[in-house]
Amino acid sequence: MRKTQVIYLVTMLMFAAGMWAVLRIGSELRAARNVAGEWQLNTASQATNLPERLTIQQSGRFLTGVLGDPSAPISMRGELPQGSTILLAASHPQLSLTATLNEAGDKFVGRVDGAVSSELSGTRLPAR
Amino acid sequence: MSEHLLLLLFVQICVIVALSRVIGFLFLRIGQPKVVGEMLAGIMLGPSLLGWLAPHFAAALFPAAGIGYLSFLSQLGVICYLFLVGLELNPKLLRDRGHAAVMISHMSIVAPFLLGAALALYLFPRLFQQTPAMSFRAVALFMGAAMSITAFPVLARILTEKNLHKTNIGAIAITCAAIDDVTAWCMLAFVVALARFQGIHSALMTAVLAVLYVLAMFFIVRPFARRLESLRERQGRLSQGVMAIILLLALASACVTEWIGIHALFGAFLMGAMMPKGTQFVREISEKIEDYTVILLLPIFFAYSGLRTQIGLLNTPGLWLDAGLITLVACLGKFGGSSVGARVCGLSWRDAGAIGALMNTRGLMELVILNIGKDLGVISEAVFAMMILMALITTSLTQPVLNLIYPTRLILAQMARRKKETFSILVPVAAPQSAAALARVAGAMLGKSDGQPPRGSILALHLLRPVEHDAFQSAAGEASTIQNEAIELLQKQLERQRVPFETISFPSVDVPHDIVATAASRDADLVLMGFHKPVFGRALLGGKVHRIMSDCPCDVGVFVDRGFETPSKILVPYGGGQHDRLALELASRIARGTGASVTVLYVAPPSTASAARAQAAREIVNQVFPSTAAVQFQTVEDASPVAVVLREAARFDLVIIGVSEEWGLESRLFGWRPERIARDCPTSMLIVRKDDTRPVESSEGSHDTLAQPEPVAAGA
Repeated sequence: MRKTQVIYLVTMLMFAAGMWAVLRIGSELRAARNVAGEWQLNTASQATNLPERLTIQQSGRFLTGVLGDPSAPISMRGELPQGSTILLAASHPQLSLTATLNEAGDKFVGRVDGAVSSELSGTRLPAR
Repeated sequence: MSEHLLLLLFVQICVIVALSRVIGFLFLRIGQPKVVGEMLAGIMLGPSLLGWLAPHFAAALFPAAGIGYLSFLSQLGVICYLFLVGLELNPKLLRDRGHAAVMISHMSIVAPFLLGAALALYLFPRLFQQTPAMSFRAVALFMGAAMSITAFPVLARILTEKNLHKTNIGAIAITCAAIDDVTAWCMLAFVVALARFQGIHSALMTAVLAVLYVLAMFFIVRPFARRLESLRERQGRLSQGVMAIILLLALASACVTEWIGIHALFGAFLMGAMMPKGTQFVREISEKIEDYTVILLLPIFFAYSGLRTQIGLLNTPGLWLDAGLITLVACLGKFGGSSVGARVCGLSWRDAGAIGALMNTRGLMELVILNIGKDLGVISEAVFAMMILMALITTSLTQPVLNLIYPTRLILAQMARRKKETFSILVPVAAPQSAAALARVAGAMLGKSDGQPPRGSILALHLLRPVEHDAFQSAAGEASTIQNEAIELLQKQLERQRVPFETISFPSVDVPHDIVATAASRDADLVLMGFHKPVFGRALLGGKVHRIMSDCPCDVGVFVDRGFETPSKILVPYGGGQHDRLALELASRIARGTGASVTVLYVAPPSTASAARAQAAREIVNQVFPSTAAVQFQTVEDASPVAVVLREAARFDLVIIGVSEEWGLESRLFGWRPERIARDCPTSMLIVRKDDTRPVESSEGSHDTLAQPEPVAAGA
């Protein structure tokens, strides 16, 4: 057998072994919880005037959000630093939202601070 | 569709096509593949630039309600494009190159595939979320496939632009890219099936149907396509009926593979791959589809991809580092894998590096695969943006890295060092009417009347206009096989004369410059071209011809055809200059190749035609012509040498003349003048100019072994 053929075979074997190892290790990994979509917000205090809709776009742990309707949106960005904690913040107006996702991933409870402060809860709306 | 939306769609298409053409053209001017500019134009129209700078205008121009139509058009564009890619895929390439190309190709796939999948170990918990489509297995395989793709058309285009397509590196790279293409689309079909996985029963069904479908394409559709080719041969042209059948087959194939679950694009690609290869039939199909696809539909695909790309999502340094990591891994896998594979196959590190740089180009193919991934939900928005950036960077890096590894000066220097053993003639051809005559002249210079094989070769140069068909370079991997009528005529004539030739073809924006550069790089001894009247001015030797004659680093001949066939009587007006000396040498070559008789006409004004000067001229003739040649030496005293030549020329088949002042073809002050002799000569004429930098040869046979010169047998 020629040297190049041996190298070829070794390469293919390494590839197969490498892929097997990657898929094996990767099967233990968990992606970030899915929070992308539209959420209906309910605030404890009626006086906050906080918009009722929050749209979250997600790329793994990294989140961007739009609070309110498209005519007057408040842009937010944040992360999912731990499995079920949502952190979002806006600079104009200054707002920060901290919430905890439930087991099913369709509700969260938390609070908003900054320009307004209140306890809040969110319910995921069905995808359109 | 409402009237408003239709109007909006037209406006969108106009904006997209215009911007795509402008940015593409600008990128072409800075030496980048046009496709990079077109990809960037698409991104500019999306939220990353237009939506960021003018969000209200962007929302009005591309409202969410109108995006669907762009999506359909872009899908149609990609289906046509993949059909074209399949059409240009020549299995002969795969068969001819042997194990080396297979080895390099497979290394260039497995290395980035494995690295891409391994990168998913880091990216998966960070940039992916828990959705049914984003299982680790699907993500890892998709990342691997996306990393290992190579843009066959862009690579082919770069090879032809650098004139590397005829080199060993070019041949290997194009073969590897072809193998990569086939492998990548098969892998993609597998990944798509996996992402749509709905239980073992459905997976098994998909696999069985896919195999059955490929078999059906081989054993039913392929023979049918050959029948269509025969029909085209009988009709003498590609009729609209046949074209409609082919388009229907491509769309039907796309429908079937989509239904099976391995994506419509695979079907379009497979249909293209099943068509007969390298024939006029395929070229005509390609030409008919290519313009609409490249000019109209692909820019819409780029814009659609750009509208989905949100560079703004990369809003932390960490995410930019992730984008950098993806690009690094992509380059490491593809460049490294290909280079190591090539090195293992025995190529030098420089050649291996050049192949690595070429294989690292991803271009439009990457966009296609990324959009599929996004549609399937396998990749997140941020990963999509990062991968788009990676595709842009790797594609735009190819040309500079290749220039670094394989600079043009190095190619030229290698060419110059190459030992020259034969006489080579570069023949640029453009017009069909001059092609056959040029071939006859060039063939006559290399032919041997005694039946021995010719010692020399002809390089037929066909320059293409680059801007029309370049996002998708039709068969650029075999660009030399791009035919047109002129080249075909030239080839047929040379084959009849049994003269060895090679065809070079590449796009050119500056024809004189590229002819000169090719003559230099291929170390041609003579550039032989047809006469072309300049657009401006009346000078026969003006315009492009003038530039080539002035700049060429070798001898130049301009042939004025006036019914040239095989010559039997050649006239060489001789005044003693270096250009006249070249005329003698070429006449000697032709005489040797055709057995023609040569008359050397020494013309001088009465006062200066001393016997001593005539004797010196006679001695030169003795040196140039072998003893066996039928040469006559005539001396004429006349105040008007031009009138003498014109009077004598009527008795000959061919006049070979140097661009000397005596003949009114050159002025020391103004270069070449309005040339009465060339304009009024009744017979075919070869006007030659000696390269000043080349030494005058002691005898005609400096490139081959000729008999030592002896005095000519006949005199005036």
